[in-house]
Amino acid sequence: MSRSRHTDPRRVRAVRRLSSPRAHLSEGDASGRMRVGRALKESGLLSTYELENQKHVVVWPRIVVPGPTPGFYHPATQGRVQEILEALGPTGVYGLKTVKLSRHSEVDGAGPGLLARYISPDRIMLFERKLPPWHYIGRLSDSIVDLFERSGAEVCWSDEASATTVDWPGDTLARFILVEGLMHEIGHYIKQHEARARTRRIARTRDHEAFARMYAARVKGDLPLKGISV
Amino acid sequence: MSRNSISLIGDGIENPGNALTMLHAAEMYGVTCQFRDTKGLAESNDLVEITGRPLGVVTEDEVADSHSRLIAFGNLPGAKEVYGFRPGSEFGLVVGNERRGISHRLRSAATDAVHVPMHSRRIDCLNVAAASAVALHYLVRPKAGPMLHRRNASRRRPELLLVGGVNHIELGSAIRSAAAFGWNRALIEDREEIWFGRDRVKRSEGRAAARRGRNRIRLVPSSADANHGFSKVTVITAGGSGLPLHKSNLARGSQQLVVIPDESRGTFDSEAWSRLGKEVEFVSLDTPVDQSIYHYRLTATVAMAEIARQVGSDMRRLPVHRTGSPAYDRDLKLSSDVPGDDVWLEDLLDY
Repeated sequence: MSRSRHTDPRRVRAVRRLSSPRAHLSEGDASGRMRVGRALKESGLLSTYELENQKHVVVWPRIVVPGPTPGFYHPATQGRVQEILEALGPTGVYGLKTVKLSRHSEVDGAGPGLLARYISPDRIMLFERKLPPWHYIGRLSDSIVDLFERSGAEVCWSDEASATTVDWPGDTLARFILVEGLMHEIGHYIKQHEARARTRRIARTRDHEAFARMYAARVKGDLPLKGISV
Repeated sequence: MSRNSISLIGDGIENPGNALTMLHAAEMYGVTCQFRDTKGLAESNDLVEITGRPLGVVTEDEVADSHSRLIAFGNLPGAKEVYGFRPGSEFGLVVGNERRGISHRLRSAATDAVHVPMHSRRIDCLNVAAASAVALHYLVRPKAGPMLHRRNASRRRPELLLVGGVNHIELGSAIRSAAAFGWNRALIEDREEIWFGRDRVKRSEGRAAARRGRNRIRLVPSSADANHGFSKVTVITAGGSGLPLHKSNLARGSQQLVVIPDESRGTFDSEAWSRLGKEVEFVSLDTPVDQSIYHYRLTATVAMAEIARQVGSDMRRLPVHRTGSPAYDRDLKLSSDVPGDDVWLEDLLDY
């Protein structure tokens, strides 16, 4: 059986790398530890330091929060994002460097529907939203209305104004952003990261999107088991 | 030959309706209007009847000699943007034929060339009379600065509501201007049923004026008692009180609704604009509101030109992330991009 750390399963590798992301591959090698321990004991220095007892210092992705543009806000706060990252655990987020709660103006050509962006290899941006209720001229497409309503929004069409109003009661908008934005982009991240692909696309966009959607849906189903409602 | 201080000169204008509107545009800005008549414009009885005086006709030589500074207005090579252009107090402004533009002779005689930057690739020119009004607005009263070039300029574009159009040709020209200045969508309060109404002749003439074959703007009907939820509503009128056009902020993005009412049947003093949004402000073009010379297309096009100037044009796109790194967006396609008119089912049943 290979003991190569290059072939560790993700669940094993993730915990190790999240606690010591810059550690050399040989660090913590059991044979080396035994050899060092024996030498210390023989030289009279007591070595009772056990790796198992060492408290793991987990380095979570940094959450960057510049202030939103006036009239906009971030429904998913830093605390909510951190809560989701911790719930996903090392397997979901190890190697991810930053999650930024960004302004729309930080990217060119951003439309009002842009929720989030994953930039390979290790950055995710969640974009600010307009304060609800949202007012749209014309009808929203059926798929979007369905998505909004499934996420808890109240979609109202006005014949007189030919406009659609979307209201988000309670924290439904935050949940929507966490699932459709954060978890979806983490799906993209895992797909790229697992293939160790930094600058190349490892799947057709359609397949990439399908994986991200599936990941978000699966995680959304799993999170209530961990006591987090989304 | 006596020197006029400022003149608008129509070079080979064909359509008497356009010629009449140009005369009225010149009157709005207090300048004289002349025509180099190559299309029998002077023989139009309607034009003489309405204006009550013979058409001011000039020759190419007279145009060239009458002004020390002759400004050709059109999409010409090397033309400067009309925004921020300082022409001085004595000049002749030449606008060309609807299809062929300015004659070669007058183009050669021109000392300067200016144009209005267009945002649309499909509709790259305005109605000639509306374009004349825009040129006069920025050259006769050169108070506004140049157009800005900035990132994400399109995000600053407000929503547009055209209210109470009385004449279908005027409304059609205003819709053409909206598309040319980069709007993909406009709300129409069709109180007189000239756009979404059942008169086939009006429908087809209005759509011809709007260049509907090439114009992909989406027109959304809105009723006179509709309530909207915009955070800022800016009502632009020809005269009346309010901030001067160039001093108001018309680039607040989609949270702002700019309303341009058709004042050809009077002002909208009793209108409850607060139904459209939280905060209402009034902006004035500061031109005379004389019903005999009022044209909706002129007011609307000048207002849209100013919005386009303030919104600015997009700078060259900057790289979003490091070259070569793939990026995946979660971008919801919120509305249908299908061009055309939204029509109520009841209208179709009655058609």
